Order: sequence, then C-alpha cells, then structure tokens
Amino acid sequence: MTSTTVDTAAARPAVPSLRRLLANSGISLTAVTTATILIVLAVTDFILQPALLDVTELGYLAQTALPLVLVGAAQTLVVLVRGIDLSVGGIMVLANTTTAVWVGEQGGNHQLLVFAILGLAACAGLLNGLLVAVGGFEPFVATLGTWTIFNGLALKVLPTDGGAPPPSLINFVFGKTAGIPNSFLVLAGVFVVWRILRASKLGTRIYAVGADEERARLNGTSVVGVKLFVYALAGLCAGIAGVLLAGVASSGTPTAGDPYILTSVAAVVIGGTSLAGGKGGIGLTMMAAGALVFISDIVTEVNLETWVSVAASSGLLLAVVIVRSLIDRVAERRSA
Amino acid sequence: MLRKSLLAMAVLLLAGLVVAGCGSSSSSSSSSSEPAESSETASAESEGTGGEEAGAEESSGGEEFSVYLSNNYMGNEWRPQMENIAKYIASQPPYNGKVNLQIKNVELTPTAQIQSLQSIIREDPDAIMVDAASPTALNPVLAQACAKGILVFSFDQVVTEPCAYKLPEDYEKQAKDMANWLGTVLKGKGKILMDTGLAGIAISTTFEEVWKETLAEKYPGIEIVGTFSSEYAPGPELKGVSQDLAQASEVNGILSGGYCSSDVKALKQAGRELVPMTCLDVNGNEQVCEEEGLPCFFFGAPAYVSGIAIEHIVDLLEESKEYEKEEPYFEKNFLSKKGNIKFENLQETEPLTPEVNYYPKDSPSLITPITYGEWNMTPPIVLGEE
Repeated sequence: MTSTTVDTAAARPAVPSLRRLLANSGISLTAVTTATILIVLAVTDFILQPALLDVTELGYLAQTALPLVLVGAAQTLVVLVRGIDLSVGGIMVLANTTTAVWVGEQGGNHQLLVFAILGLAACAGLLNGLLVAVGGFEPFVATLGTWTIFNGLALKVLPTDGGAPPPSLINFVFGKTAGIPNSFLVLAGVFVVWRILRASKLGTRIYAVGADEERARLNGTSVVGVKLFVYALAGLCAGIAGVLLAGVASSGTPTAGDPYILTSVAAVVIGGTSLAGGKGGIGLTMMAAGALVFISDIVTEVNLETWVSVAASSGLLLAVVIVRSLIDRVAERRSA
Repeated sequence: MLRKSLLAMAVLLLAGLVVAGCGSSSSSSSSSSEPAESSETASAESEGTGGEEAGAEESSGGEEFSVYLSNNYMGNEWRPQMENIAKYIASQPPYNGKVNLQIKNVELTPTAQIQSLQSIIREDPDAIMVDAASPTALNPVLAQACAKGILVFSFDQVVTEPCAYKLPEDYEKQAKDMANWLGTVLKGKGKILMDTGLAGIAISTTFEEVWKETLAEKYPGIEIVGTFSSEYAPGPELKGVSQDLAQASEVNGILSGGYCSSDVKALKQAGRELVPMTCLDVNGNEQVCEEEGLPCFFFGAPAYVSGIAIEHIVDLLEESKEYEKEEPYFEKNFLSKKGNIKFENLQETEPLTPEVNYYPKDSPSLITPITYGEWNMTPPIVLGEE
C-alpha cells in the first residue's frame, strides 16, 4: 500500500511535465502517438527491406501513398464538421477516368483541362454539401447515393481500365525536383496548405462547427457556408487523388475508388481525428495514411500464407487502434 | 501514464519484431543463392509434396532462378489452384533446384499490386510472373522491372506493357463461340438472360460487347430479357438469376461467364424448366450439367497457365528457347453430352470425358482440365491437399 503510494507520487511529476512540454511547444499528445506509430512501422519496414532506405525507392512508396493521403485528407475535412463522405471513392474515379480519357484524348498536355476536372470534382463535393447542409440529409445517406452516381459516371467515361493520361502528368508523378521525388513535394504541399487553412479564420470556424454547431451559429458563423466549403474542398482533394492515381498508373481505373472509402476512414481514426467532429486534423491523417502504407508493405514483404497475411494486416491495424485508444483514454482520464 | 504509453509502444514494437522475425526467413529465401525456407517457397517443398511421387530427382546443377509470382485476388477457386500448380511445377524435376518461386498475394487494387511489385523489384529477382489487377495500371512499374533486366511474364489477366511476355486468353473468340453455340441450340429464337460479369473488368466488357453484337447480327430472334452480375462467384450469380426469373415469365437460355451450378439452382428454386446455358469450366458446373442432362457450353480457362509460364520463363532465362511476346495459352472449350452440337466456332471444342476434362467424383471446385502435356497432376495436387 505504502509502496504504491510512493510509486505513484514518484511518477506523477514526470508525466505532467511531458504534457506541459508538449503543450508549450504546440504539439499534441495525439500527434506524438501517431508519429510514434508511423516511426515504429517505418523502422520495421526499413529493417525488413534495407533497399527502401534510398530516396528514389521511398519516392516510389510515397507515390502509392498519394491517393490515400489525399482521400484521407478529404475524409478528415468532412469528419471535422461531424460528417462522413462515402462518395470520395466515386469522385476520385470520376476525376481519374476523365483525366485518362478526356485529357488524354486531346493528345497534348492540356493542364487547363486537368484544372477543369478538379473544378468538376469540387462541384461534386459541393453537391454533397448542398444535400447535407441545405437539404438536411444525413451525410451517410446523401454520400451513399452520390457515390453510386459518381461510380456509374466513371464507368460511362471509361468502362474498363485504359485511357492515356497526359504525359506531363506522368512525368510529374515519376519525376524529381532538385533531387527530391515530386511525390514528397506533393505531400509537403498538402501539409503546408492544411496548416495555412488551419491557422486561418475559416479553419477556426471549421473546428467550431464540428465542436458545437449551435454555439458556432450563435457566434455568427455561417454553418451552412462552412459545410459547403468543407464538402467542396473534400471533393477537390478526392479529385486530386484521382488525377494523381492516373499519373501513378499511367492509365484510368474506373473501379479503383471503392477500397479507398473505408481505408480513408481508417486513416482518420488511426490518426486521432474524432469521428464526433471538432478535433484532429489532416496532418494526423497523413501520418496515419503513411502508417497504413507501411503496414501493407510489411505484410507483403514477409510473404506469409494468404490467410495469415490478411489476419496480420488486420491484426497490426487493430494493434495500432488499441494503442491509440489506450493512450487517448489515459490522457482523457488525466485531464479530467 | 507515460509508463503505460511506453508499455503499449513496446507491445507494438514487439509485434513489429515478431513480424520482422517471420519475415527474415522469407526475405532471405528470396536470394537465389540460399535454400528456400518460407512456406510459400516452392523449391523447398519438393521433399514433402509431389517431389516424392515424381521420384524426387533433383534437377542437374546449374543456376537457380529467383522467380516471384505477383497475384492479386484470392476470392474464387481459380487463383488458389493457379498458385498450387505453380508451386507444384516449381518443385518438380526438372525445375526443382532451378526455380526458387515465391508468391506474393495482394488486395485487388492496382496501387496495392504496384506497391508489392516495387517491393519485389527491390529484391532484384530473375523473373516476375504477374496475374494483374489491371491491364494498364501496372505498366509503369513493370517497365521499371524490365529496365532493371528482370524478365516480366504476364498471364491470365495480362498487362499491355510491351516489354512483358504475355499468355492471355482470347476473350473475343470465346465470347463469339458462346453466343454462336447458344444461338444454334436455340435455333435463333427465344428469350435469354445475360451475365454482365464484374463492372470495370476487361473480360466482362469484352464478353458483353461481343455477345450483344453477335446476337444482334446473327440471331435477331433472340431477345435479352434480363441481365445480372455474376461477379464470377456462385452467390451473386444465384441472386442475380433468381431476381431476373422473378421478372421474366419466359427464359429459354442463359449466357453466363460464371456458374451453371447457380443457374440450375435458381431455375429449380423458381420451379422453372432447366434451359441451355454457358459458363466457366469449373468441375461443379460440369457435374451439374451432366447429372441433369443439360446442354451446356464451358469456356476453357485452365488454372495451369501458371505452370506453362514457369516453363517458358526457365526456357527464356536459360536462352534455350524463344517465344512470341504474346500468344494465347488455351484455345479450347468444352461441351456437355447434350450440348455437343455442330456450330460456327472459332476455337476448338471438346465433349466432356470423365477423368480427362472433368471429374465426376472429385471436388466441384476444380478448374478443368487440371493437367497438361507430360505432367500428371491430380485433384489433390491442384487443390493443394498433397
């Protein structure tokens, strides 16, 4: 009894000081946890595949992570305002197939057409926003409907894998700038844009709407306006994911979107963004998406029987979620 | 709390290390100079499996080639049997000791297979066999493999990358033969149901286009009264056909790329008469058609294409034989006893013969025929039970 009291008393000062240290430096415990998960998985993968410790090889791995990072970013935005977007996969393949067919058919590089496609993707997101914020539909139901529509349109544009995206897009995805793979630059760009948005008034309003819609309204925030912006921006992110996927695969793939829907939700949850809205961010989801890519790479590398691979992949995912929730629970208890 | 956090991290790290420990044996076995130990590595299996049957002769010395099989879908019986055959052939003379085969299965998404192929390329193998998730999406990563001097061999769902060798099936000819057979059996008249396969997949798009085109051109008296998506699995086909039967009062034939066994079940459940139908060369389909005395057409897609690919790869690596960059691996379809009629066919047809191209007493899961050439593969070998 006495020794327990002594142990607890001895441990106490260290933890608050760590939390205070993190708080003073503007880093949350959630971010530290997510970063640790990412680092552990990355180190495991590097031990398994030392050849991966090469900037070009890492660039290739980052290429395959790009669509998930961007779809994850789209999902995070919507989750921050207490929504969910099942149509991200549909918007992604719509942008992907139109890039491979419409832009590719022009025979040149036609960057402007790519921007038009991204505008289309933002409009698709805006449609979700209208259904949710103006129409009052449940986000799950509204985006379930639009997901099917966008998927159908993508199959109309390109019935099966093929098409030819513009060479400039392929060169960009596979290229380097000043020796750094462009895939890293895209990831850095997404993070910088997110931090700018996060620090802006609009960013604060997004969190306010997610935390308490009614209070945000009373404070003069246009809840409908914020939601419309968020859904449109989510559509834009999913569209960029589709365009980049066309570059990575040098073709269009009308069925590629569906697996990204649940994976993007997994990235949001593992990252630490609250499904209840108002807490979290795209930076966390980016790290979680990286962790998911490393899990997939590790499981592929260890080359086990198929059923073991599936179980190992899910098991690692579960381990990550358990670690995440344990730490969050302990942190909550402490702050209470 | 910090202590607990660290404990949780340690658990995760431990899990990672366990995975790493498991992986170290398989990654070391990828080296062509070391003996294979992984459960998925075929050259290590020659002792325990069919190696004994074949006399377990080790092939004469020489270089051992590191060959990876990149597969993406294990949802139906075709892919596991394809893998079992690849493992068996790589473990038998003259390929044991000559081929160190490793198999990597990934989810059915192009990015997952791209990522897996990148990991394979880092191992610098002699050859990569690919059953592709997409005919085009893997092209850039496979071009990287070719540029590194790795032999790329694509089969079944082939890629369009020019540097890859390809063993495809001629879907167009198969689809024409299926439509012509059904058109002839129905004497150019009747109402049919049509399978649309799996949305976005090349085989489905080709089948649907060619079927519609052939029927419109040569059999205008045949009307498509319902469509369904078999998804190349028995469950969805049963559901799809049952729904169509509820709406269509008269059905005289079924044009499917999937499962006759499901179609027969759906017709019986709906209290309808059994009708002529087309489907995949799965033993269960053939058993049902023969038991019911039903006219059926089975399009040929044997899973032993992986064995042919291994043979070609070794020939190419040893420079002992040359092959065309692209040649269909199988151009034969099968007919049930009642369906054995003359019709306008582009590919060869063969009536079902027990124990030759179908197996009345064996597993309905078998993809038939199960063996080819000099090989004498049996159902247990193909099913991975031996």
